[in-house]
Amino acid sequence: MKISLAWLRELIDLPEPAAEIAERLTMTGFEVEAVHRAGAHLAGVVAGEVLEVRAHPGRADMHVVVVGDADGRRDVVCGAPNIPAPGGRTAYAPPGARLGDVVVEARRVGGVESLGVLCSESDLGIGADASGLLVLPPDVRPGASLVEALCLHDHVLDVNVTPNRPDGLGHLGIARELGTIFRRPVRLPQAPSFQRAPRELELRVRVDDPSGCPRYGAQVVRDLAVRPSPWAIRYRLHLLGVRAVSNLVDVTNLVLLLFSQPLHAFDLAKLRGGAIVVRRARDGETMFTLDGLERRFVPDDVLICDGEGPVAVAGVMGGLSSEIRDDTRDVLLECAHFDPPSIRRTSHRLGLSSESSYRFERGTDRGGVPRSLAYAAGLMAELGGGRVCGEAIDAGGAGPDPAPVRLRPSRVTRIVGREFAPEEIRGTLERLGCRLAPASGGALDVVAPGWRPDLTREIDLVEEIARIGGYDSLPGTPPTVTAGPRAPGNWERLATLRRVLIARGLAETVNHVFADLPTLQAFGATAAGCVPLKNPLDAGRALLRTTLLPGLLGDVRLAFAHRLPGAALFEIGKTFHRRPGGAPGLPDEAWRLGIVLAGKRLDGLAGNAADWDLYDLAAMLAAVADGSLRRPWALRPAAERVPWCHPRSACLVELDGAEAGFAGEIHPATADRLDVPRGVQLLELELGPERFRSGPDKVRELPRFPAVRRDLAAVFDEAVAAGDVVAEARKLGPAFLDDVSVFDVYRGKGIPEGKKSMAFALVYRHAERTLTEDEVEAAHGRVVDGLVSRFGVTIRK
Amino acid sequence: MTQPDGQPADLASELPTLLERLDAELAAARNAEEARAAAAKLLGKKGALTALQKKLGTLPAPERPAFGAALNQAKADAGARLDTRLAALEKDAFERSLAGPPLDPTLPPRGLPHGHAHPLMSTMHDIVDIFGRLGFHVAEGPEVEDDFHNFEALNFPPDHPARDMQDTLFVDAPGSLLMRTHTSPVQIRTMLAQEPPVRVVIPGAVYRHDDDATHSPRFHQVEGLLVDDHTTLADLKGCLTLFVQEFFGADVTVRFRASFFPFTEPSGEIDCRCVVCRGKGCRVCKGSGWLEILGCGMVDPAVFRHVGYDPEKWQGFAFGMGVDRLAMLRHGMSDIRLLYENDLRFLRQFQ
Repeated sequence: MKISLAWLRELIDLPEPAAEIAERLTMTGFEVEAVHRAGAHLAGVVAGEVLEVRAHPGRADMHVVVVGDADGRRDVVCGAPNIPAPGGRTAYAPPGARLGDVVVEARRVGGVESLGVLCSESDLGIGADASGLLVLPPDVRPGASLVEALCLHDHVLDVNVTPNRPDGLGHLGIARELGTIFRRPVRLPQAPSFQRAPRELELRVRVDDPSGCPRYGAQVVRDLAVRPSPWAIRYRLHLLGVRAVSNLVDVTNLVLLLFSQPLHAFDLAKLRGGAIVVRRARDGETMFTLDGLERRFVPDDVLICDGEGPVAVAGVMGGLSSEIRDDTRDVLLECAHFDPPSIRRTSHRLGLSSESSYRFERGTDRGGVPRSLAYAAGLMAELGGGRVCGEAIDAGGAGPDPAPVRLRPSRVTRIVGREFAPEEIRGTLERLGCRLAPASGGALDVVAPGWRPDLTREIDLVEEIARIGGYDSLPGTPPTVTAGPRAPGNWERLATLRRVLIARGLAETVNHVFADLPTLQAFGATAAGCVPLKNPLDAGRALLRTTLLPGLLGDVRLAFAHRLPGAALFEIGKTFHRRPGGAPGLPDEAWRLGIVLAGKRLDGLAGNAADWDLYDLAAMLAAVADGSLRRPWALRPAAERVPWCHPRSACLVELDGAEAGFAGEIHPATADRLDVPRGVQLLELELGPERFRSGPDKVRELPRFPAVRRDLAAVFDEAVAAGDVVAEARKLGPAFLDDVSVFDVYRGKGIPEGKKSMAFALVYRHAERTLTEDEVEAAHGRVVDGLVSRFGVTIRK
Repeated sequence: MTQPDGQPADLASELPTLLERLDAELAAARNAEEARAAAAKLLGKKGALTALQKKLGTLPAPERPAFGAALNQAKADAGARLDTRLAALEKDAFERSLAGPPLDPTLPPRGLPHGHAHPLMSTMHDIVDIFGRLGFHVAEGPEVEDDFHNFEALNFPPDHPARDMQDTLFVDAPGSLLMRTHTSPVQIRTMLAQEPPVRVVIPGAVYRHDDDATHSPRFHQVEGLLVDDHTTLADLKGCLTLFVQEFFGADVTVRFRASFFPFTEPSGEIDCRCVVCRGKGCRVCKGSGWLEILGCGMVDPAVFRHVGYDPEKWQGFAFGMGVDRLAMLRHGMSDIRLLYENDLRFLRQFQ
């Protein structure tokens, strides 16, 4: 909401500078986001007297105007159609003057040197009119500063008005707030005085829906002439961001900006049947609104109708048929109070928001209706040269007083945390316009003014006292910490996990959760399992992700677009899954870890850079499992379960024997379809709380007896996994087989095609005694024999 | 003059010659092995001194003691000379091992370099840590919410303009589901699940139907809630001032001004002096000299009624802040989209 300081100063004494006023408003709840100084951008622009007008020697569409200012006569080239006759005044920007950010310079136009420019409202940035020069009154002294001559000085405050303060949407409301802050009286705006002419026609007003329209005021004004408003009004509207239209329309806007009371002006001649009826719409009823669109109504909408049908959507927008036009002579002014939720529903349903509906849905001052109406009628009669006819119609009246709100001073102290003197409490509430009555126990019964619909509960009054007293006056008491039982939860576990991954060399990412179906389907999702949005940002972001991989792969695509050699990324985030069978309630949300390794593994010298492979993923998995989850892990080949991975590297991840995710290189077909580089390594892991082992590690006794190591190398089929051999050896070995591990895999010279040599270290150690050579030999022999028969291998000596 | 073998005088006269030859060979030896080989020519099984030893018995008895003594002396001398030479060679080798050009320490290190923490996540963790030290536990909740938890219980009535403050992304499913527009529904879930006192901090992602240079459809908040039977607006001011000073530094100036949120009353916002221009006014603070840091207020009694807390008995405060903005301020960023693009060239700047 734009607020003119000059206008405020008509309503209340404000000697303080703009910055201080802005600061006080901001501190008490009307945040001033910016203060614009009006007029400051026109330094050096003056009133110029036209002394002579000559034809331009070379340009038929131009004239050379001899302009007089305080410094003498200058030639200025001008193409405007309305150059005043000699003796007239216009706005003149001589060389060196500023027009906003531009400094005017002498310039040749068609071979004639032009010393500066003559300006329109639009050139000067003080109005919308660009059709011709700004013509000044003849009494303005040539050479006078334009800003002074036209009283352009003002400050416009950009005020952020919160939804609870509809009174702040008008200058009077802001003035009242400042009156409370500075403890000064507010001068209520006085309408130009007028004589009421006798009523000349019978106009009946009937409100059939008093809940939707508790108060309806109307006034006829006749014999008006539509013409532009005086300059001062047009300039004020311009500063406040409202287009000046004509005197009649401008009056309704001025009243809106002053009282925060929307008005509607009907062309009286277009109203049929001599009646206004406020009623609910009939289902399917239609009307063309001012914007030229045909609107269809439902019975929830409140309509203003004449004797035959709808002429306005109550509180939202007027109808096209009764709009004020240039030939309008007689006007019916409407000034009403509507039920806020009803206006909001209609405005939302029609997708039609106006300055009017914005205020009505926040709440207007029912009690202020007669004043606003009289002000508008008087101003309209004055500006349009017309007559206010008959008494104003007032259907519904002021209504009953709201129930008083009981305020306990002890409650104020208990909530705010500082003592307030009873006179401070009373003074604040009275200055806000409340009526007070003493109640038992030092309490007050408070009736809030009609322009403060937000003050309906004790806590609302507590807030008023606290904010007017100033939050800066509160003592800031430092918090006391009370220790309570506190088990580390999901947040702490994930915090450790991300530190582990970052230490391993991965970059943390934060991706959006929106995706499209084909992408999610590439990773095994089904349409029925996805959560769709009703109003997505666009079609590509219509679903919630069921996997972290699309986001991470998008990040890889970006890295490659920037020609980075590689990217090693992770994300810890949520995926969303519709409940099986469409069960009602919230979708399932799962924390997951996604890892992608793409391009080169930049490890030391770039010349040594290698492609990432499954064993890099395994290293990351090991870091996660050992450093954060604290669970034993395993990878199990499962091409058929993970079809978006290369069949040779697709694996399921197992944690403590339970399936927890997958790992593998992206399937080249999937990579091509998603337009990401081939060879990217993928891992995704579920991170439910049960995946994390908690509690301290238990210590095993350190070995007291020596170990004996025996190595075993053998040639196996390619299909045999080292893990299978280790598991078999453990099965075959005695209880004192302490450890089995693979330490070498060899293919090549001396090994037939389709085979590989693998070497294992077997460590024998008894917990309670030193093993004899014979014991070890016998046990090792049984393991070797067993492996030979199980895998059909040849032992390499 | 040739002497017949076995003459003692002749035998003894050979010793100095042998030792002199040894000296020459030791001096020529380039390493311990060559030095030992040279010494072995005298002292080894087939060495010259060993050979002379064997001839000792052929000497006349009276001459034996003198020759024996000379021989032993020669052996000792040879051994000593070897040891001296070995020590010198070892010293040379040690010196040589220290000489030569230095290793090139400017080569890249072996192994994967350290990774990168996302500034958004680091900021969120830091905020949570500060409140953790003030006794707040972490609480979390779903990102897909229903109208009751996200709006109604937080005192946003249906058809109320306060809902316009938050442009909502709705989920296409029965039961008026939506992407939570703030972390505040977790306040409701926490209070519904437990009796007071409550002291929680709530980090998480939130969503709005908005996408431009200053608005991301997904962004992050940290919310807090404290409920007991005595906490006041003054306590709120003290607690959150402490937070701002922990986060931005103890010398930052804080102001506390009135504001509006449907679920708190009295409501306020906490600003700090612009950390970029120090209050002079700049692009970041839009010329005001102040930065909005967080919204806060005393929990509205209507919210307590929705969760079954007696507002006459319990009171407390709630607050919420935008993590994205704090991360941007802290790292000097102006475009929020950088936080969600995951441009590796950007992420690499964070350790």
